[in-house]
Amino acid sequence: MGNSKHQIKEQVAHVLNLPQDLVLGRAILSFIGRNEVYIENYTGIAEYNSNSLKIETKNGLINFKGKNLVVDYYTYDEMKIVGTIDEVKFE
Amino acid sequence: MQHKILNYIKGNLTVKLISTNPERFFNICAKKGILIWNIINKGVYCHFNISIKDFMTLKDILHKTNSRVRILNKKGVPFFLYKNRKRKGFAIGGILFLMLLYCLSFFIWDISLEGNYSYSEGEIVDFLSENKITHGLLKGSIDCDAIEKSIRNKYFDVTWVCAEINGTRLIIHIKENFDSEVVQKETDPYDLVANKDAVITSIITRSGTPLVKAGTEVKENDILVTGAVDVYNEIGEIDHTNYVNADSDIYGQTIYEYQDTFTMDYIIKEYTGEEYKNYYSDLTKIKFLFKMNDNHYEKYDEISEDTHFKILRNYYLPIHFGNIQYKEYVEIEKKYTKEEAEQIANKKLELFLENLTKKGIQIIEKNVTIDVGEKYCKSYGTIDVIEQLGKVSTIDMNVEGPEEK
Repeated sequence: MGNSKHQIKEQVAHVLNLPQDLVLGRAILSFIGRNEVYIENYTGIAEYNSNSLKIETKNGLINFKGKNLVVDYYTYDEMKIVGTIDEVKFE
Repeated sequence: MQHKILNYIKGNLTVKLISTNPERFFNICAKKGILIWNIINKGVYCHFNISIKDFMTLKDILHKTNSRVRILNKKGVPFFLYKNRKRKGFAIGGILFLMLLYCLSFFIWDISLEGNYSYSEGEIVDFLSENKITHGLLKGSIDCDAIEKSIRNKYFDVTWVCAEINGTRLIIHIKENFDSEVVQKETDPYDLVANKDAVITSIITRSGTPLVKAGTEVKENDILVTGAVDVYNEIGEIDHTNYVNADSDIYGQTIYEYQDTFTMDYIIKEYTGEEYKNYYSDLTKIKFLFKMNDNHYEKYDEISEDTHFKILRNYYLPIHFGNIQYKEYVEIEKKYTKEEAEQIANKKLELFLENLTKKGIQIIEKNVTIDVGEKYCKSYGTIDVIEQLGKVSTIDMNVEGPEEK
């Protein structure tokens, strides 16, 4: 049931051309090269050390791997990560 | 950048967080709207920055997440003030400085001129100082209207003046009349007479009686167009004479003599590369010269640079500083070669012709010989031109009066 509800939402968003981050709660990642990334629409930090950072979103985890990862700022709506990002994995 | 300055003013802390679950701590902070930045994971513990205000509210969260914090570094204005709370001299100095700055802003420290063309800035500033408008005057005592009036009265070809006080500057805007010859309107009737010997090429008369026509040779002061207009009656006799202002476009061929001589020897300056600078600073009338070197050059150029100290764009202070540069040179005597001399003579001639053309004079022919001698280079000859003729000469009614009778 939950799955079909999600599918309907997705289709409505697609047909009506609504922003997916609002309707479906999808995270927005904006990369500036590999050294900076702005993240919006998350629920929290799941795990953090200097080599990996796991961000919790409504649709699962996003796993950043890299070196010297620093959270430049962290607020309720937006966060910025600096460092050398090697890979991004959606889990 | 703005963010950083604001953080510095409000004061912020670098904090070390010792916790088993730092992620939870950060998440709760984010939910509660506490801004933290520069989170660095150092393995066992984390570093982060937080404002003073938010730091005070951390107690509950720390208790909840079972973690501890330790302050590593304090930055910002509140900490700076607290540290220097006992330094009274420093505070007094700061206040005195601000007061001095405020007091100095009551005076005029710079007078500048804009839009001047033929009058130099120095000339007008000198004129103003004669009228007791100088640097260091109280701003309130300056009457801009009076300044405008005095400049307009003194300089007739200044068509528009505006004096304004901006910061500690007195700015005088000027508009000059570029037509240097002011056309005087004669009320008495006048003739047009030749201002030099010429052969008339064309004449178009608007008012008055023309006495010459194209092709006539005239001498200087010959009447070209007279202001006396005869009115005839039916029989063809002169009934009476009307006097008008003669007005006519008269062009005539005239001859300009051209003569120019210059010596073949000339002296050039060659800089030896030896130079040094002296610096100075100037406090109203007291000049401090920082002498680095004594001047021992025989011949030298002096180049000085002056900077008027100011804060912002228009807040000038009575402090000048600058440098004087001394450059040594030696004089070397040289002689022009024949080609060089000819070139220079040609250039001079061209410049002369160009000046004529600028005046609206049409050049027909030039016969100029350049004679390069041993000591001098002479160029001489004549230039045939077509130019406008005629100058105003009032009619003396008393002389012509008896003739009429």
